[in-house]
Amino acid sequence: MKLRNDRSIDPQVERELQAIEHALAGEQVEPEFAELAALATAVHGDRPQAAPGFVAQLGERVERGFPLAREDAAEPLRRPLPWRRLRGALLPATAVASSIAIVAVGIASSGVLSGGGSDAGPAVSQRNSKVDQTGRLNKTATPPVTGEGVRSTTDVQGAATDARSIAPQVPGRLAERVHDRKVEGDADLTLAVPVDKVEDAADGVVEITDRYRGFVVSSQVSGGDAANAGAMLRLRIPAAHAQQALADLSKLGHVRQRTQSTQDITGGFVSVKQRLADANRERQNLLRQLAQAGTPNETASVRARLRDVNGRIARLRDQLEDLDNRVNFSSFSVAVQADDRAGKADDGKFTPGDALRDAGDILGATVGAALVALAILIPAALLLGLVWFAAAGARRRMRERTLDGDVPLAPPAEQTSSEPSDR
Amino acid sequence: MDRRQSRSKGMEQTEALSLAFSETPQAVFEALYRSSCDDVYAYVAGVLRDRAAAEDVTAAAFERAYRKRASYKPGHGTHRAWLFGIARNAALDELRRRKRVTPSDVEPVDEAATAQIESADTALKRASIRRALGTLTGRERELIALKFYGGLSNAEVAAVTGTTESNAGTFLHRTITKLRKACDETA
Repeated sequence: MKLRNDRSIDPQVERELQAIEHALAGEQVEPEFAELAALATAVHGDRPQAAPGFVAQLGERVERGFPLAREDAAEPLRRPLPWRRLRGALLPATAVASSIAIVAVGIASSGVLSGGGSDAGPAVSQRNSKVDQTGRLNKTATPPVTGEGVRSTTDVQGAATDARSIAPQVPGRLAERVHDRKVEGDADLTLAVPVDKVEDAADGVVEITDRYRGFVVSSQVSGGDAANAGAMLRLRIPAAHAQQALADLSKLGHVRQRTQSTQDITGGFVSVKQRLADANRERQNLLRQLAQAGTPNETASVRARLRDVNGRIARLRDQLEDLDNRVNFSSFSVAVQADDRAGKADDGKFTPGDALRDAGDILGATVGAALVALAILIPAALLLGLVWFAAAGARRRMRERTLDGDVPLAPPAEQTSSEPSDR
Repeated sequence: MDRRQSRSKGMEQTEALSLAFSETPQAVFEALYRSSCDDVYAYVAGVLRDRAAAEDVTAAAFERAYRKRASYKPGHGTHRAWLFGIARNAALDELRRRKRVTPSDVEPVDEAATAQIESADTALKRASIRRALGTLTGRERELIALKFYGGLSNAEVAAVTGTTESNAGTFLHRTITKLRKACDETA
């Protein structure tokens, strides 16, 4: 055997190493390396020998493939599977389970199983109420007098609501506070219906409005193709029935958007009421002054002031009535859009096109779930890999340190030349 | 068997095993065992210097190699280097577990040698070598065991110890030189 020609080794060193190789191979060496060869041969000749019994026993175990101790004994059939047998199936089982989990997450995320319909609107929000200190002075169409007064109704969520509020999810003590306050509510609803159902949907909106004794403030319906067909209706519906009306309106088509909001106008209401009371008191004072007026000038002056106060009282009453209307009637804005897809979903039929669409949704969601899983697994695998490398490196260093920590032995006690080196 | 013939035969078997290791694992492993058992035992005993522990570690090393035989990659070295790597780790783990150096009174006995009638000169030389080996560090003694007891080539020694062949050769030469001086002093 020849050493690889390595320029980094001193030539003399390389020759000596070559001589050792020759000596160990039983070949002749150059005379200058005779002593070295003799040493190599002597060291090799002093190598420990394995006991024949040990070699035979180990050879038998090798031939039998190193059987496990459990397999040697005659044990009953009931015994747990060795970990090694399960280990081979562990990886495929884990892969299958992970795939099933990812597909399940994908199906759930796609929303295919939950179906479409009027409740699948993506934007159903409710803004919190805010205090309006000034109120609005705009006059709206006078609604028909309901004569119902304040009464409690129960919405679909089961929470009690005030007749003057359309906050459907106001629980417990908050509902009591709302009952004492003046809250104005409004809702925006966007529906999608087939092109040929736009007018029917608009008629449905009007019918629902009439059913709940509301009124249509304005409406605009246009026909034609999907790009031009549509309707826009503004409604006023008694606040006591607002939630139910909203639910009924939502069933007219596929809900694209649904937004509800409330606005607390108690401050403005109280302010107007207070000013009205002050104006009435002032009017009473002026009437007494008029009765006591002695001269025509005094009478004319008081009458002039009375005219001002009466005008102010009328305006304040109008404001109060307007605020009452805003509280008693909720504003609705209903937009009807033409959409051919909405019609197919509303038909309740499951066509191959629906199946393809659902399959695409599931596939997209599954891919998304798989990507998310990879985003979690890859860093975890990298971290585990780093930990494994660090552990392997630490183990290697500990082993090497074992050799470094092994100190030379003190020479053994002197022996006579006739005695072999034995224990 | 003549030393030269046994060494050459072992080399031929080694090359044949390297080619066929992945084809018939059981038969090839048995051939590997037959060709390397004595060498592995000698190496382990040289490191541990305890016959009983050497037998246990040798058996454990072969069993571990048997269980991991599918993980052998020819590109990582000869199968002897692979086997000795496993044996080295097992021996070092045992050494670390014991956390002490085995006293010289439990050094393995070369029964084959003592069974022969030795000349006084040979016996003296053997005693001198053993005393000289006792002056080496653990790492130096391990290198001697790999080279002279295990019969590994310099390339295989480098593969087992995780160094380059040139470094292995240089360190071996340094160790031999130190051993030589120790032998001269003890003689």
